[in-house]
Amino acid sequence: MAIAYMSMPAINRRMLDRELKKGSAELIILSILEPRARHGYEISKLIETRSHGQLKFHIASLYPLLYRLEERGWLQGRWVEKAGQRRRRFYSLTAEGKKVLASQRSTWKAFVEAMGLITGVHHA
Amino acid sequence: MRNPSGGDWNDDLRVRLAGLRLSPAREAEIVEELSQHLDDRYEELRAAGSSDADARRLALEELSEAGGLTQRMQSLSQVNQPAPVVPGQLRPGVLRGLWQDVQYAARTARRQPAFAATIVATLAIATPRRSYRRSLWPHNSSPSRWRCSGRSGSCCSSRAPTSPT
Repeated sequence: MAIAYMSMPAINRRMLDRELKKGSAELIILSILEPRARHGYEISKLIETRSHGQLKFHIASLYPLLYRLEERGWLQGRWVEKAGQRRRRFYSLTAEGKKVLASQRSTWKAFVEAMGLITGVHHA
Repeated sequence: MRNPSGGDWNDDLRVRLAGLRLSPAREAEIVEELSQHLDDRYEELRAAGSSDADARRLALEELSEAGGLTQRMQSLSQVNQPAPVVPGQLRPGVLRGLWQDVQYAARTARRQPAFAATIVATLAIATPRRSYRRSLWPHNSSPSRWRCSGRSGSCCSSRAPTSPT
């Protein structure tokens, strides 16, 4: 019983982290790509550094998500070759992706404000 | 893509992607892209002090995180593509094979219309003639049997019409 009692909060936290990440993953990727096209590794490093290490998108979760957003027409992947370097696949937002980003930002903002009102947690 | 440890990410990636049945071109693209990511990750881990073996192991372990790359890609529409059609190689299933034959015939007719027209004309002329001959001479009394029955030889004796007793 003690083990179950002790381990439940850890499991719940992992599940909560996973669900939060899943719900916000699309918005994160679209936001990272808003200023300019980037390749997969750059996207993963930017997410990690901008979140101060709180969020990490490893290869197994990042690329399937990029491919899914590309299939939806929100992103466009393009191989770019530079002199003296191997070619890399850069992802950029499509017109549809920009619309979705604006919509998701608005929804997320409303959600965060509502959560703040309910829980008393406010942005620092 | 080779990593500095002398290993090859491509083999690991191909094994993981094999079950997804991507098109060969798409699979090659994904392998190239993920190999680059693993190269970068390997370099990062090495720069942070990991040994060669540890850096390689940790980079590969990330492919299995969060349910694993393969599982996360299952829902994509680019997976489970039909196998490429190889000329002369039948796919399992009679109807599939038949459909494959029809597609192949249609493609050939488009590419070589003169050849296709010759084949169709030959069949159009030959098939009614054969049917007409069969209608004139029923199976048990074809002219070839009549010719044969008049000569000596083993074939004639076995084929000679027998009279009812």
